[in-house]
Formats: sequence, C-alpha cells, structure tokens
Amino acid sequence: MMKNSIRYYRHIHGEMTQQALAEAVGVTRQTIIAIEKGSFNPSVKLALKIALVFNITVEDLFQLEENERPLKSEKTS
Amino acid sequence: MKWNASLLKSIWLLLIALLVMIGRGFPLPLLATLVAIVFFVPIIVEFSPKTRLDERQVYISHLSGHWGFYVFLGLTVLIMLRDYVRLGKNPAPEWYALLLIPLLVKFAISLYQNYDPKKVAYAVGYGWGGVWLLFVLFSHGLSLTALIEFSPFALVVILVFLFRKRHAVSGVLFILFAVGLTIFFHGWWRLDLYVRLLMYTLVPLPLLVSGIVLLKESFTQRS
Repeated sequence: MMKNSIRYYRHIHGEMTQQALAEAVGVTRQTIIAIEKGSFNPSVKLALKIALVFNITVEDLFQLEENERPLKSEKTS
Repeated sequence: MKWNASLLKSIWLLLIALLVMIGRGFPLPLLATLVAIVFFVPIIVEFSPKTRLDERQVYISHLSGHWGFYVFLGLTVLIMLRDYVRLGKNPAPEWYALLLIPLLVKFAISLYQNYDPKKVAYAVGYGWGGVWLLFVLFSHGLSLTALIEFSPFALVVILVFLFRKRHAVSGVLFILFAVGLTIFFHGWWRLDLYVRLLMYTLVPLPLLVSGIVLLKESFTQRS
C-alpha cells in the first residue's frame, strides 16, 4: 500500500471534511476513509481528481513505501 | 443510491434464495409478480447510469462475489464427497438451503466493507438480539418462559450497551456468548450435516464475527 498525505492536505484546506472531499471527487466517504487509512489504492483517475481538489500533483499526495520502489536501472547509452 | 448499491445487490441475492425456498407456496399471480420484481428491477438498476458505483464499491462487489463463489465451490465439493462418493446417493433437497451460506458471506463482506465495521458489528449484535426476542415471543408469547429464555441475551445486550465505548469488552462479550450458544445447542450435532451447517452459520457465527471485528478494531485503534 502507498503512503498518502490526504489528511494533511484536508487540514491545510480549512479542515475540509472527508464527506466534502468525497462529494468533490464523486465517491463515498467510506472510500476516502479507506484511501486515507491506506487500505485501498485509488485508480490514477481518482488520484488525479483528489490532487486537483488540493491543487497539487499526485506525487505530493501519494508516495511509494521504500521497499516498493523499483530498482533504478543503469543507463547504457 | 450510490452509497449502498453494493449492499442492495447482496440483499437481492438473498431475496432470490428466499424466493426459491418459499416460492412454491405462493399463488401463481403473486409468484409471477415477485419473480419479475426480483429478477428485472436489479438488472434495470445495474445498467442505469444514476446508480454508477465508485471504484471501491466495484472492488467490494467483486471481492465479496469471489468469496461467495469460493464458499459455494467448497460446499459443492463437500456435497459431492459426502453424498455421491461416501453415501452413494443423490443429495437430500435440504442442501438447497446451503445456498444461503455463500450469499450470507457476500452480504456480510459488503456490509462490513461499505460501512464503519464497528457500527455494523454492534448493529448485527443488537439485530441478532431483536430476532431472538421475536423468536421467543412468537414461541411463548408474553410469559415467564419467554422472559427466562430471553434473559441471557438481554444481559449480554445490556452489558454491551454499557461498555459500548470499550469495543474490546463488547467484542469479548459477543465472542463468549457465541461460544456459549454453541455449547448450549450441542444437541444440533445430532442433526443432518447440512442443517447443522446452516444452524451454526445463522445462529452463533454472526455474533462471533461481530466480536472478532470489534476486537480487531479495538487493537487497530490502539496501534
């Protein structure tokens, strides 16, 4: 599962509620709760929608765990 | 509609099973109407754009459907091994009732995933108490026997209500009561395997699951 900063960005956006965020991106509050808890990974489309609500990039919002990052391949050219 | 469509699908599956089980006693016009409602309304709803599920609800619907299917396969293997292989006969008609088990699995997963698991666990526990009370009242009416038969569960419901802020205590109470019911109804071991499976699934298992969910939620909150 991914780390995410949704709780933080909700906080700095005037303590936006989970319900308000859910309505803004067209999902249920339970879905926002599950994403915040890290128990559900959103689709790229939903991640982009959430990032747009906070006016940030998806990378600001979601980060891979250390052990999930792909090994960097050496450039040969 | 969006927030509970997955749950409605599970209820719809349960209604189909109930209709199959009790439908033979209905007059034909009533049966035809019920079949039309049960089969066609969900299909119309399924393809209606107004009831589009969000991606997590689709995931839950698939997940619960898969688990229901695995349980169904498990039961099918059990029936084949027991009746066709060991006993060398066709299964008794009672095995149709077992179809309720995979549907209950799908229903339970949808319920616990779509709503706050703690609230669902308490709702199942209190709901179970309500069913027990109705069962006792229909059996004995307003009498001393009814009061005596309901008193053990009334005690658990009162204790759970008093400790509702302490989920671990409520969870342990539900688990202990579920184990107590299993011991109390030890006579069910003399029943046919299929009836036994159904009885244990319907009576102590919901409370056991509620208790485990409350314990799990309590430990998750602490960590």
